[in-house]
Amino acid sequence: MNSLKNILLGVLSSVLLTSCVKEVTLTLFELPDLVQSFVRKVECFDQESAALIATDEGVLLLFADKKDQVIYDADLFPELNLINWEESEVLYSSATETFWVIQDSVFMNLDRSKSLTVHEDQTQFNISTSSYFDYTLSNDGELYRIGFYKEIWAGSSSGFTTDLYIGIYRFIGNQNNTWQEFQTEMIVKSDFQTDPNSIFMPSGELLILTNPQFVVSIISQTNTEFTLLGKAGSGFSYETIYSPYISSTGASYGFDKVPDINSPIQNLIVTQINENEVQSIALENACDYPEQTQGVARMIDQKEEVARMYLPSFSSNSLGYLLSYDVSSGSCDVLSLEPNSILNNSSSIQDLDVMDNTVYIGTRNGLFVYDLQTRTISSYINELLDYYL
Amino acid sequence: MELRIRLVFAILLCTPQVSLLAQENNPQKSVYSIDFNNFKSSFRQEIGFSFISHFARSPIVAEYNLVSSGVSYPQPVYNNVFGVFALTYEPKFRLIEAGSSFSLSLDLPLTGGFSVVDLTTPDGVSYSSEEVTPNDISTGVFSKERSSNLGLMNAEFGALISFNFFQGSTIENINALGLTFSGGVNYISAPLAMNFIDEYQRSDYKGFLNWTSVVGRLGVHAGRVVFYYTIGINPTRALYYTALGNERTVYTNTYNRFSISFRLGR
Repeated sequence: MNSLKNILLGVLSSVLLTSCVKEVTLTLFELPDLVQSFVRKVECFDQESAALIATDEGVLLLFADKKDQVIYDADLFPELNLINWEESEVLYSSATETFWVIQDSVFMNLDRSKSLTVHEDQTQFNISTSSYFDYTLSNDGELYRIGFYKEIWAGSSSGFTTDLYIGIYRFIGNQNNTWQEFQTEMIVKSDFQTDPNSIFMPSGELLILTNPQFVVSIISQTNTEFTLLGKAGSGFSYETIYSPYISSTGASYGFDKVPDINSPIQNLIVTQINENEVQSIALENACDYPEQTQGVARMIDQKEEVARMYLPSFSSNSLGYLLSYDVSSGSCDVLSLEPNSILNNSSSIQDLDVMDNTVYIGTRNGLFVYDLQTRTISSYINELLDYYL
Repeated sequence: MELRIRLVFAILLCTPQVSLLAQENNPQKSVYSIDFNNFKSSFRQEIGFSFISHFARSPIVAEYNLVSSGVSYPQPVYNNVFGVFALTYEPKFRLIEAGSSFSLSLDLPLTGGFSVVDLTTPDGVSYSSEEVTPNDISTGVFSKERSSNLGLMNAEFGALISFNFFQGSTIENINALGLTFSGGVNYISAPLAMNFIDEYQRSDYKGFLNWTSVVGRLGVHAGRVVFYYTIGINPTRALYYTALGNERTVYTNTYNRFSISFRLGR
């Protein structure tokens, strides 16, 4: 009886020993050391929670979760070297989770699947207007080019002005044919000849921000339907609106010129879609610029009525400022980006953008992240290691 | 695991009542609970030794960041105790005795050992808690290493509930052999002495040097001598990847010790 008891206890002990083992998996993860090289472009799509970081060593795509990153190493994808990133335009479609990189005649698609498609456009556009165009993505992720397909003398009463006819081109990307053309009767006078910046509204209609503006409700080969929006007011002389955005209340706003680190801009153009009045707001007056700043270098993001912009500083101990301007109330907040020992001035900053509460700062020495809540800066790799380990 | 601990406590809480019931119902009393008036009969003490038979690993305390071709392969880091010699003093309190051949006791072993202690990866890389700076990362250094062991010596304090059979189970048992099955926790602190030659500071390794393991123990009594084998019963099986992407496993939070103890007094 006693020996039976001992055997049972032995069995019980064995079961206890084997059943208590815990399992832990240490998952490997990609460490994008390419972000320690010269960063050429930082493009964040805050509302879509996606970002593209272009460096000399390749491209890093970031999505909402920090673990959700895609690395395109330039050694594995030499086509990336076709792009001059400083002159490129980056678009993102949340519908297809695809980045479009466009520079000159090169079109690239980058996505989560880590496949890179490259298309080179051989199309001959109308020679006199071919340098005026804009690219925009529809809500379902199709790429459109807005340009001019025809230029006609407006008649003797108009002097030397001509009528420029807007053409809409849908990207099809065939080897022989890049674009499907939609000719329209939308006309811009050559006095206002410019890039026809445009944006698809949540309703699916296309807003073309020329002067006058057009709302295109149906794009069709036979009859493209549109509404002409005449504009007037202090900003009437504007030609187009760069970095356009439309709030849910119908306010559209953007810049009167292309902003750049080396040629900062001063004015914000604001108009209601259904109103004639166009305002040109001098940001320097509205925002009371800090010292050693010259103007806005880029639009960071737009959320409803608030436009957030980057104001570089020439001070030796500042990384610059984030300017938040409310187009409905006219109020302006200026937030200083505090330097620290690892990045103590803005001289090496090539580009920056904001996603959530993080400013992604691209420099000659790599990518840094600035936490807007704690107002601390660290290298991206360090932050990633802290996150994982 | 939590359920098992609750069961043990439930048994412990219920046993005095069982004892009282036994006393009320049976005038020939055979179940006794600890009697503080006659404490010596409920108390036993042992002194034990082990020599190169004492090994312990802490749970994973950090991850060593092994980077190869743009991929990071985190390696588990644990505190590794290689025991050379250990001395244990162990008081045992018989909480319940049933007849003369079974008892349930609370054992409180206190151990001091001369051991070699290091924070290592499974491949033997000595992990350093020194901060990895952006400059390190820019030169391809993603984790810091030490060139020598972290320190020497360890201390342990255990609390075990034991089921004792035959020899050693009660003061009056005269069987030649006995068995003990124990379960409980063992708190380990290692190293006690940091490596002063390389100036490693205890404050730099806060949180890495103390841990608690759940252990089980089997004891075989032969007269005054007891042979004990103690094993960690709540280990962690860690799966990780080598720099070549191969899957590997390692057990952490482990404890293994073979020791010989001698009863002091009766």
